[in-house]
Amino acid sequence: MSERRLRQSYDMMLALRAEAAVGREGCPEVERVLALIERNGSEEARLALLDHVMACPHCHAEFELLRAAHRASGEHGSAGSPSADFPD
Amino acid sequence: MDAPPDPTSVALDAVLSRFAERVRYIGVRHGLQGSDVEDLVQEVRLRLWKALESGEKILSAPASYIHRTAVSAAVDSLRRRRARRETPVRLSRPSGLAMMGETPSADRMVEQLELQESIGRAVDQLIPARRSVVRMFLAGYGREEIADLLGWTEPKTRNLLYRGLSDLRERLTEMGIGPEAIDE
Repeated sequence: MSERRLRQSYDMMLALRAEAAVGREGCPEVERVLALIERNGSEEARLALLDHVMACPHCHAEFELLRAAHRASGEHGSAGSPSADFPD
Repeated sequence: MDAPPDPTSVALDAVLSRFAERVRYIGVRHGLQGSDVEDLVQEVRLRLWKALESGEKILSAPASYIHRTAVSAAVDSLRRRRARRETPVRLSRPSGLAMMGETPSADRMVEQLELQESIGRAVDQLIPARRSVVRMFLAGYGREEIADLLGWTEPKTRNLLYRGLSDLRERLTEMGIGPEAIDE
């Protein structure tokens, strides 16, 4: 099976799951999804989290929003310590 | 005659234009909906305006400050949605049934659904490191994005992905799904 066909079929499966998805029981907290993007935690824990995120339509969408915010603002420059002149 | 533009708005536009463009590019590419992207950009704008107030301060804000504001705005927005059980963020995937093509026969539809479920089960059976990489790949992420997220080198990512896809094809073959059954 070609990669294109695999992706297409997998995407259809996720679309059907998204239509049927209801509860959030078992979903990680938002902070944990952010930790995945910021590469915090052990590799084993991050892989387990990523496995859930990529299979869960709710978490996947949240992951994308956080990733977009993280990457887009990160590309302004490095995220070092902010100046004391700027409020939290 | 139009009033001169407010300097604070001009400063906010200057600081946020590149950020907004990047959020739209990155987010929409992977199915994030436009309204969610716009909500995030507006939230960041509001936070910067409230915290810094003057155009001068906004323009001199360090990149790290914009970064922290953007990420915390996204986290807070998602927390609020979860707490209020508001409409969750959704990725724009076409309906699973609509994607099957134009009016497929009932038999064809059942066949396609079975195939999709088989692929899902086969992915579930992969070993963890390969499974996560394969899930990302099948969801449309490139090798570079996968390597970046996991902090892996490109060769390591390529190796795990190659092996994962190979395992996946093996599992599918064991389930009776060969290339000829699918690539029609």
